Amino acid sequence: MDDRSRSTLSIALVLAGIILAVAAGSLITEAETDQAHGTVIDYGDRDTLWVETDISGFPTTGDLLEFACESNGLSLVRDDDGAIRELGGIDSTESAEWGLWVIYPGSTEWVHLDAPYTQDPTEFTITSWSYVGEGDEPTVAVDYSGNPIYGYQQKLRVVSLSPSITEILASVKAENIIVGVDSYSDHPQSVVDAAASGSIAVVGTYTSPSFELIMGTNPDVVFADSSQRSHAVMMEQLRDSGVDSVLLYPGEDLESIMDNIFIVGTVINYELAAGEVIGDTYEVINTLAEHVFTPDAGGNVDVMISLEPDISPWVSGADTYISSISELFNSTNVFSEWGGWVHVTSDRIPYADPDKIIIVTSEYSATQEEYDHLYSNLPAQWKDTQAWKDGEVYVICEGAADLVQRFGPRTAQVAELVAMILHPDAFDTDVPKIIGDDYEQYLSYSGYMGYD
Amino acid sequence: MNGKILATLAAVAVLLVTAVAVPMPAEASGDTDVLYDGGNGDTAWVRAEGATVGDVISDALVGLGMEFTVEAGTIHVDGVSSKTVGSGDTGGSLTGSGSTGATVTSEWHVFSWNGSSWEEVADTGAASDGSPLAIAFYPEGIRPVVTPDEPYAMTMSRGDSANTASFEALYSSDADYEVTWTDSGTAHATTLYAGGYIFQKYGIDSEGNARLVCIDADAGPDAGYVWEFEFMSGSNYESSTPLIVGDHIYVATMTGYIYRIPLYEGPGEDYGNVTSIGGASYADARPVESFLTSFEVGTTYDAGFSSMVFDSGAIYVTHSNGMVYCFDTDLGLIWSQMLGGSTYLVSPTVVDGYGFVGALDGHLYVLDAASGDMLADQMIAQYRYQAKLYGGVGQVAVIPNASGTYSLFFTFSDGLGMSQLNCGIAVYEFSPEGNVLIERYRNEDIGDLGRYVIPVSVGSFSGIYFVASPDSGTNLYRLDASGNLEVMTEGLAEIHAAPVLVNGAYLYLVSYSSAEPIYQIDLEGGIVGTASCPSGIRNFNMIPVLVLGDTVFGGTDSGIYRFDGAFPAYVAPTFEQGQPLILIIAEMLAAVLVALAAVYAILRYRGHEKPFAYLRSAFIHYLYGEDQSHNTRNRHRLKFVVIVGAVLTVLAFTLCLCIGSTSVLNPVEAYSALFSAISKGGVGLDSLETTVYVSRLPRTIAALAVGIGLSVAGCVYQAIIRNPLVDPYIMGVSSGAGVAAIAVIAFDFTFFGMFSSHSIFLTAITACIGGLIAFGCTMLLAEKAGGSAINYVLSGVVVGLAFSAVQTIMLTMAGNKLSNALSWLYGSFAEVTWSQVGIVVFLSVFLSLVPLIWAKELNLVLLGEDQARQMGLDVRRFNRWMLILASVLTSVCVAFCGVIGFVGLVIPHLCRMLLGSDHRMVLPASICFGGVMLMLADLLARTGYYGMELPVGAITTVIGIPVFAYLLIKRGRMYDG
Repeated sequence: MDDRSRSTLSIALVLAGIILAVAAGSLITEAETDQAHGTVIDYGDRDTLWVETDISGFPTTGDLLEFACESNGLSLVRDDDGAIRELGGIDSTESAEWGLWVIYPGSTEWVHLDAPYTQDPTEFTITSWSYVGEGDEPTVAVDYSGNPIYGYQQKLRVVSLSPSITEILASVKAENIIVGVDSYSDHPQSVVDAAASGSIAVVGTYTSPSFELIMGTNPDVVFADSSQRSHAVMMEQLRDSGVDSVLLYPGEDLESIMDNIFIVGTVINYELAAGEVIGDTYEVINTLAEHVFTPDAGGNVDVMISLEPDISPWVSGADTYISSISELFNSTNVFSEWGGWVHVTSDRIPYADPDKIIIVTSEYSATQEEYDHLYSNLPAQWKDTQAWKDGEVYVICEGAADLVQRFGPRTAQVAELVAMILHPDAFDTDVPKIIGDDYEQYLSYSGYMGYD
Repeated sequence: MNGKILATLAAVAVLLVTAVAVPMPAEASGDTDVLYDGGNGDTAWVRAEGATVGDVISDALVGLGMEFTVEAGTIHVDGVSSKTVGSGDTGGSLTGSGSTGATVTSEWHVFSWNGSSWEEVADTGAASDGSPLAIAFYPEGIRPVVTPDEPYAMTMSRGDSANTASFEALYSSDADYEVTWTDSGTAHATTLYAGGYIFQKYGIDSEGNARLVCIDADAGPDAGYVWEFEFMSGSNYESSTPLIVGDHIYVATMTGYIYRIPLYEGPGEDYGNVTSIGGASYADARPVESFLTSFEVGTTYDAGFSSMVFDSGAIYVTHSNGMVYCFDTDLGLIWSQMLGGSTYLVSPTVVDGYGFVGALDGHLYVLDAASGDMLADQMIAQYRYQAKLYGGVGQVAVIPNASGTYSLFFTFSDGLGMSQLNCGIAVYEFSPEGNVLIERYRNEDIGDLGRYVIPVSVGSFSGIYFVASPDSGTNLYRLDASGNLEVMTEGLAEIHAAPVLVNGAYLYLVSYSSAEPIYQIDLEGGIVGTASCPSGIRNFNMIPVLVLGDTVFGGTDSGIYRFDGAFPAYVAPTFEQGQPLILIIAEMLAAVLVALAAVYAILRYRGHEKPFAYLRSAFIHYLYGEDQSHNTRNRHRLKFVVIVGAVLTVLAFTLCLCIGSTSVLNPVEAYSALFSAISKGGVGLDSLETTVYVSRLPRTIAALAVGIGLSVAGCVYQAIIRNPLVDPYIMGVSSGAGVAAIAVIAFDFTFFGMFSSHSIFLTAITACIGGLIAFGCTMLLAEKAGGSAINYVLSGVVVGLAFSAVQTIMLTMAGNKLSNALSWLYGSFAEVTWSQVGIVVFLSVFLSLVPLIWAKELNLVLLGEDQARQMGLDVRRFNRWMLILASVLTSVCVAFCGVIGFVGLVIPHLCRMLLGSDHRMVLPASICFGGVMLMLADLLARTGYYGMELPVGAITTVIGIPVFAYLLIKRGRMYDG
């Protein structure tokens, strides 16, 4: 063969490869989000009513609304232009009003639509008739991948791919329907024991779940955590294989953790138990806030949260879990100009001059000796802070460190620990400077919320 | 089958389903076949004689232990002439308890067979002409389903209204057992049989529709469905069984409808033949409401109707809304009764005018089947889990006692189905006098129990058989009314389906997993035979088999099947599941040894003294023989390499399909699952097929393709750059791809909105583009610097460092997305799905073929630029194009599975050490061995540490280094890169 024909052949091969690959790629339809077979009436604060029906039978969203109210015996008063004046005995007011909120396919964002309600309900992933205050959004109705969370049948074989999800399942009293967990799930003990004895399968690690092991448990539904990329991929694979899977939100603050609990409860039809957990959590947090926002509690506290007692430590910026919890209790994160965990330069510490320092670490055990050693050996920059001078350096270690880094249903316990550290004067119980496995004994309000 | 069976039937009395109340038939005599049909699924054939129709029937019933009299034209059997279900109107409705005022009256009717249908005989005094007769207890206008042509029928979920699941069947054939046909669908409802047709309800397909299909039992589904009725259902678990009465089949849905369809005609055009509750047409049908009361106890897995039973002209069914309904055969409501909790799935048991039904409040209810009045209500079991009460009572098995009372056997639980925490078994005695329920026996320490027990009264034993799973294994037990519990069979596989009894002699138990057997067990507990589910529809088995002697129908979550012939005799199992890995390896070794022995024998036979020494010298001569020309030697070597490479590729590919973290299959199983999955187009797979086709195959193919791509790219780079230390990432491709991938993973970069943030291609395409951008930078720099190979290396290293630095900074700022980013950088095939395989395979394989065409030029380049130029090659241009090709190849590989080191560096070296530096051999060898190595590495990555994905790049290094070190020691001295 001469050079010319070889060049032609080479080009032909390359082109053939590209064309075949493009053909293979174009054959694949991207997984589409499901459409809800019904509509939601949302009274706000995660109090919702799911109305299941074939929405294609309704030419407009207004018809769907009429049906939803009629079939549930709810009163409905509408304006001339179709806007909702009153629904189920609750009037639209200046501060909060009924309205139609929708989510478009492929999105997770709520969109508010105005009356008249003449839209075709099949255009949306889900429609929600929500009683929403100014600036608020309706109760979460789709998971992180944009799939509706309503309309699932009761689930009896559930797989959890993350420790937080396992805790959520346990908190809604569903641990007896778990058939698979990730290997990082270490709470509650009953699940750990069941996994050790083999009655619950371990389906891989938190970071890399195994499709084969998950399918081996014959699950009804798999809960995955969107903060792990591998989980999002796994969710697609499972859905392709016909297994219901739900991708939870990266729950790094109170609201999204509560959303996740609500989603899990709704999907497996344990709404009541989920509502109880959510209600209890808010009750504890409100009680704590009442204590904290009193003159006795001593005003706003500047706090620094660190992962280690090093010269230039990793510290919490604004949007970490523990920072978002601590900000509920009249405190200011001195490093809130950054987001996430940041490697801070040492001279920022005396400059920031926190009133309290919280060190979250698994490296220490909760003994006074360890604490004294750590406290006296802190770098000079740390000793140049108000916190050190006042002796307000707290160490959260052992089980307590796990607790405050787990975005699960034990949020109320985290909140109580943090509130007690930030405002010791507001509470009767004193919390020690180093807190380990025995943290529950200091909890007066949330002691029962360990869900184990 | 029909003719043969009927002929034999004529000789013996064959009951299809025997109510416990009816004694076994006496010896038959005479020459007229008589059918007794109790109107509740309980039928029997008897041979009798007599002058008139009345005489023949009287003789027949004597044989069944019953008395037949005719007074003033009204037939009495055992003194009963008619029964009326229904009473005065007390405002009963679909949503509230009470009677509607509707009634239905059943009487005894006599029929004569005219050769094609049953014709009612008005005068029992007429002379008998020897044609088959029937006496049946039905309302006016309903004829028996069973006919002389089709003497078998299975008309309701457990055979009769007493839920005895007891078949009388004939074992006649010595034929070898075989699977006659299969049909796919989700079978959670019991298979029904009438008139030579199978009626099966299937759960939803991908469009959300469930179906009732009618299949010719002999011809099977290949001949097409006789008819099909599709209905919308939201439920995977269409688990309630339809009901056949007279010429109609009734199907109740989990969405709350009941439809009535002509049995043989089917639903007709636009479902014009279908009617629903209240006689409504199909179009006007309305469902029963799912929720009427909010029960504070119990929970159902699904909503909708239970299976139905038919007795004395009335249909009895419960609903998860807590109601028990009684309908007439036109689906007019006769009465309804609200219970204290949801009922679910299991049909009520109706015996002697009493309805026994359990609910998820943990109560057992006894109703008057005629009026719906509540006669007794007994709390059996309730469990409190945290805030909520749970309970459940399984299907009731009833055994009448001589004293006029009834022994009731049933399991109870917390009603949580497969996840139940507490359960047990109980015996109660129901006394109609005063309607009292008394506990006689209770056992909560017997392990996991299902909802079904089976009443058995054979010989001196009268009680139930049931399956339970104590701490380990599953056992068959029997229990009598006095509470004597015996273990009959130990060590069965997990069983969820209800047991059935055949000929009062054999129990059939279906294992939950279709890898486990279907057992035929005698009443002493001995396993007589076992059969296994056909491979095409293997899945979980929830429903009992339907046994018509040597013909058996069964179903799984993937479909239904028919067996013919006797079950193969039982052989105790040797392996739990699949075959252990060690056995597979041993089998392979044995095969190799046998082959070697055969070769040895043949060569000895042909007169070689030392066959292996001869082979060795012949082999070495073939590859290295000095007397052959250089080209011949090379051709021999190439042939050898390609053959060995191909064999190894096939072996590695097979291993990858066979071995995984859940099960080890033998190659035959693996390939048969693979082919059946392919033939299904990847849709509706059973669990084995899913494992092989969805979870193992795509990543194996991807590993093969990426292995080929990286090896070839490495080979090309090493040749062009003339440096043995070069790997495919030398041009900065991996760093560029890494920066792009991390931008997507950690910082939600969506390529300026071109892709949705959930797109599966986002990371891959962005990474590929990132890699190419990095290479573009390298090329720009190198060309500016003069474009020599060394310019390329230096530019590549510098650009790579720059991108790595950006990558490191991005990682530092990635916060909690760090682990996601790192897992991409480590490289893994864990996330490869079918969607991506096509792209990576086509691109990498086709691009890998191009350098083969230019192997001679690559050899020239190795000699140095000047010499190559003298040989007439435009070195610069050639190098540039080859580098672009190799970089695109590398980018594609990196894009889908991250950075996998070592393969591209070491495989070309291994090939050169083995074969010399001629690219006409090195390139094909790299293609063969690169794929093999990466497939094996991926196999280790997914199985090495239980359930955890190890980074495949690290694995390649770990397994590659010893091989490389060995070769380096052996041949390093003569190897110059």
